[in-house]
Amino acid sequence: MTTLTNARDTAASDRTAGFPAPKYPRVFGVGRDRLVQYAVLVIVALFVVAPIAPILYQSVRSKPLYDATGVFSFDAYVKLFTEAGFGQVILNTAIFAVLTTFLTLLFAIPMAVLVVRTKLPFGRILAGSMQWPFFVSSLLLGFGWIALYGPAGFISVEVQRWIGFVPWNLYSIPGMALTEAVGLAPIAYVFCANALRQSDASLESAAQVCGSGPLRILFRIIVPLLRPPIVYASVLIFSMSIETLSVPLLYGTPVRIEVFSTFLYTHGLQSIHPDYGVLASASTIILCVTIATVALQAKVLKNSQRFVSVRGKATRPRKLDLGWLKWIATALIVIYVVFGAALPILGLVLRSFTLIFTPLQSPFKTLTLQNYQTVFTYQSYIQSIWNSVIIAVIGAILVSALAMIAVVVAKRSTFRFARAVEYLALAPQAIPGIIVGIGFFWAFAIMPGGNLIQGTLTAVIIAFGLRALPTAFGSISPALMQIATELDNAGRVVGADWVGVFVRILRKLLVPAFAGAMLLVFVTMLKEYSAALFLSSADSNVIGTTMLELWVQGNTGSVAALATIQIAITAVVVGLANLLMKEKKDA
Amino acid sequence: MNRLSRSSQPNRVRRWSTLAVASVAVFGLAASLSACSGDSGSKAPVNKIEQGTWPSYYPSDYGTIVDAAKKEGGELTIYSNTDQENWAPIFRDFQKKYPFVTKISANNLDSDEVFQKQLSEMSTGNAPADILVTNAVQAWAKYASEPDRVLDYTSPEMAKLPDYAQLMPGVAAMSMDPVGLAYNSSLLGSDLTSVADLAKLVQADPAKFKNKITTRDVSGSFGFTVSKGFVDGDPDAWTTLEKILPSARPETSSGTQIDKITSGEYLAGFFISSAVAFPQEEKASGIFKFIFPKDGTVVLGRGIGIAPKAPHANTAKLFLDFVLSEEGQNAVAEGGLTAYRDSVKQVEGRHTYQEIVDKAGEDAIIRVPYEITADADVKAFTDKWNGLLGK
Repeated sequence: MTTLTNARDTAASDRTAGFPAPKYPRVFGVGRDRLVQYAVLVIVALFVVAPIAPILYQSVRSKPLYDATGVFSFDAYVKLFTEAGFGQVILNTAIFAVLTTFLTLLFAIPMAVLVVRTKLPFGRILAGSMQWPFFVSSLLLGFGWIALYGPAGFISVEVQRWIGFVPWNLYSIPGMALTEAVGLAPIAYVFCANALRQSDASLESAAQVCGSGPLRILFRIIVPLLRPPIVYASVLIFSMSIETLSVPLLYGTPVRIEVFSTFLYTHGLQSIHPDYGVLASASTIILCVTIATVALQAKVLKNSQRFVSVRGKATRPRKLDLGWLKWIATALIVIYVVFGAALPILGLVLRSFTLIFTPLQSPFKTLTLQNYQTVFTYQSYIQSIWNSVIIAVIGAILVSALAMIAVVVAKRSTFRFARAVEYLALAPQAIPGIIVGIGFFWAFAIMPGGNLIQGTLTAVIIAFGLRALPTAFGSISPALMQIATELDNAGRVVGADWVGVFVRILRKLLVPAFAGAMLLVFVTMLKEYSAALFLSSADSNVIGTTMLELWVQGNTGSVAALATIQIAITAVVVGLANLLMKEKKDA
Repeated sequence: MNRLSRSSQPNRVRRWSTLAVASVAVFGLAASLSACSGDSGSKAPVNKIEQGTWPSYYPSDYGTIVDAAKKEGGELTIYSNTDQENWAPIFRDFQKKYPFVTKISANNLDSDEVFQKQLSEMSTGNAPADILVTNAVQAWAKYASEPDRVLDYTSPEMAKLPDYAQLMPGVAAMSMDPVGLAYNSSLLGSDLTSVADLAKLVQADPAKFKNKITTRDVSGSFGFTVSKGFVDGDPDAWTTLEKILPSARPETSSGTQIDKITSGEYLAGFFISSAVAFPQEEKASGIFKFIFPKDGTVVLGRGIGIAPKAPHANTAKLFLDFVLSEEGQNAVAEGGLTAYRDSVKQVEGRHTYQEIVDKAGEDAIIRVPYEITADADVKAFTDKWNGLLGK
């Protein structure tokens, strides 16, 4: 930030010496820079505070918000901490979140480095397939894993036949963490891969000139430069695994391993006498934990100048050759992709075409299209597919745009509240989806004119958008940090103001990151459902809520059918996006 | 995104042609599949709906409700935890009877959420719901125990229905849905008729059943209601459960339970909702079997009530009367729920209360009362149950 201030001063003195400063419109004596920056702050703040405020308020009320007879009290917090076994819940959550984050990075970083920066056989295909699990919500990945590796899964049964026992136990914290890690690894992968594609080849050339081999370059230059995306990814994944519900619910309930989210689910929403105070106070605590991790992240990345790699001078990264090692690397990636993602997803697709799915009977015996018929018979199910697509498309554009401007304000301005913008944009990752839903539900109820939004697609877009904002912010931010401020400074020297620098220079350099963020947001919003549980009405259901409905009815086949449809939509969109981007590159 | 390797034109063409071939293959598969999934032919008769006529026992001024309903714009909003499949025939036939009703929106919510949403909206003064439907006994009892929570309306159909049809003042039973015991018949090796049968099997071979039985999680409201109902209705229940529960694992939905019984992860499970289990029994014949235990079959009434300030109150009254009528109960059965009006005949693919009585025996039926259980009793019960579960 200091360099920026200096640059401004230099630019100013340059201007006075030479040409007159260009004139920009000023409103009430405030430059348009500040106006834009304040606008971003207000939008992001409203966006984040709207659902949080009712929750904080609820956590210190003795009765549900709609009940006017409630009084101020800390009972909910007392109850939360005196609730039997809550210590165990915190411990389980901590182990689960740390293990998930560790495994995710263990999968994602080596794979990103290998695929993007070294010569691998079938590199392009591997790069694509690495991202598959991201297209499927972890609920479905969980179903798939249970069908294969659960106590009576297809693979477990086979292994048992060969060696007499099953050497793993899926229904355990490591089992949960492994599944969740496979589901989340694509996020870390995309973050790292984006950074690697832009990494500065001159540093590598310098190392090569000094006599370093490919492995040494890898470990001394490429990996250390990855610190910003790694830190972002770990913070995001850590908080995502604190709030994730589906996998702990599927694996943990039968063996009674409770984590934070399942505790909230069973004691709050599914409970015999639900207690919204406990729900709210627990969410408040999660919020504190995540704010702490974000603060930690800011501290780690304090000296962000060290990671700058896109400078005014263009370079082209070359791919390293690992020799015979590349075959081992390829084999490992293939094993991971096949067993972690491909087989479970294939199983899911196969499931959608069969009546029953069990190792006791060949799935081909009951091939059918009935599952799809069920989905396409009911108008409200078809509507939910359309709704999801509309929400994801509109959301992707709006959220990515907001995230990009927010990143620039947070990282590249002298704005007094730049830090605040960053914190606010990352805060939603701390709020569980269900809570976001309830919070917005209340916000719309209280807000003047909120009735018009309540229950409509707009409400769902806003809630899902909030959930996706940190993802978009996190994927654009490392890209911006790699763009050297000398480019901004050059712009300022020739007279552009802050908005001008953004519109003319940064916006263009950020296009790949923006496109990547749009894709991420699209996919995130397409598979998101928890925030919709409370917000959506009969007319604004989404694929996820429909899936949950069908699942509770025991209509697993149709759940798989919807999942397959969702995967197909995602695959088409991602495929088209890649084609378009490539075309642009070729042109 | 900015990939370095450039693809040449032929490469791209090849990719598109691969895509084309793949999609042709998929469509071919789809076509052949739809060919073999022929309709098995439903033997149920078409539900006859008479327009503009009502049974003789309806009040003579019933026409005024209909006229008032016509002025309400032909819309109806329902908050329920009942699925689209269950609703579809009911809506179809209701609209046949009253063609001026053009739009019925049924929100499918969690059992308790129905009331949370209704209460929240009532307090903000904008509550769009006309009708509330859920089988969450505790939640209904708690909600409707306060004044002005449901419209005080007694259907003329009540005279023709068994006395248990009135669950609470203003709350009628739309259907009487049983829960039962399911097992994997190809792995279990013997047939079951009761929970006690299962207890005997477990006692004979504990190793075989270790972690192989599933129960419904009693910390959830549905699991609590059905499990508590069973224990309250059968004096020997705890003795039986003490043998079974140490081998059991809890699950949070009937859907998960039937899926895992079919896959062989569990050998048997209870208490599973019939609406979920019957279709599975059909699909997985020879593997999955569903019975009503002779030592206690819990039956849950699905409560239906009209919101106190329903925007379409008269249409809502017509709907409530229709659901309880003979025409309506036929539609209820067609949708997969359990009709309880005597005159509804059991046909293939439809289920009635009489069928449960025939299968399990009159004495085995346990109808859960719509009463609030005190917090202390809830805790005592769940602690005892969870204490018995295997770790």
